[in-house]
Amino acid sequence: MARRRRHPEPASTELNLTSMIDVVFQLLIYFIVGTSFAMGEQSYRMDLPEREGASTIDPLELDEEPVTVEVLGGGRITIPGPWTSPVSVEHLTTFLAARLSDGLITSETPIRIRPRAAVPWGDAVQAFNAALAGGFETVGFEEPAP
Amino acid sequence: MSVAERLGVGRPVKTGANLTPMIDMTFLLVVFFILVSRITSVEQIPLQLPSPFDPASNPAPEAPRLVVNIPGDDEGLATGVVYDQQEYDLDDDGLDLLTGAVAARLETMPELQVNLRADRRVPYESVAPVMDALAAAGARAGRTDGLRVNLVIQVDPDAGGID
Repeated sequence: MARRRRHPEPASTELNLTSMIDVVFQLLIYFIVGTSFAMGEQSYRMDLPEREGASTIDPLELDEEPVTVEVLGGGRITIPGPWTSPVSVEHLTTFLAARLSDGLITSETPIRIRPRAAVPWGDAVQAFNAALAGGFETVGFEEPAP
Repeated sequence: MSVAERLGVGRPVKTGANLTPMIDMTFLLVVFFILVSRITSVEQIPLQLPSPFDPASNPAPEAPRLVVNIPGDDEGLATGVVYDQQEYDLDDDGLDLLTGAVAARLETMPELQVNLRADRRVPYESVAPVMDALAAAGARAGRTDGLRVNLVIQVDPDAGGID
């Protein structure tokens, strides 16, 4: 004991920051990766079948008549069929909900969005979104109307 | 020279922070940022995505995906299709090349999806052929029940409901 007192070990004056910096950078990377990738972007799932070429589906076997939503641009739409068509895309969801309760269509009825050629993509997506919001499972895009 | 002299016993203790690990981590961070900015600039080219009211969309899936962009010019017209740092024309030849390139990638991974990012001002007649090209790529890659395509939109948290 006497010998240890005579030669005390020098006190370490260095603070070891390595592990702290290590962890801080790890956290930083984690948050950057977790937040800044494609901020605010969401997407709609859509299955794209091959439209051209021979189809093995017999149209006579299709039990559901598709509903075609023609997008005219500027928020205007028209839906050909035995009903009073809504004129604005804002009323598409309520219109489809009303036809569901009428029993004219079911939630499995295919909805085809058919924008005119010059209609901006944003308007087409608006109609697509309205049909999805109505709870329909099969919503797709068609060839552009002239 | 004795062992004690060689080891520096008796010299003053060196004080000073050891910077090596910090520099290590800083370089790691720099490399990370360079990589991330390159990846995001390749895939997420800036364009005005559609932002419908009351979106019924889902958060972007975590599944591996390709990103196909249709940017618009100042007047909102589509100039071409950007996929994997390459710009393809919107004519038949360009879309054929796009179909081939996408089909080749789809064949390598069966669960690969496609994210379609189109400018909201682009007319539909420019988007529809691209969707046809993607569908053709899916068919060429053997996706018999259709190719999973995610239509990317911008969700604005400040946007109000539909009515």
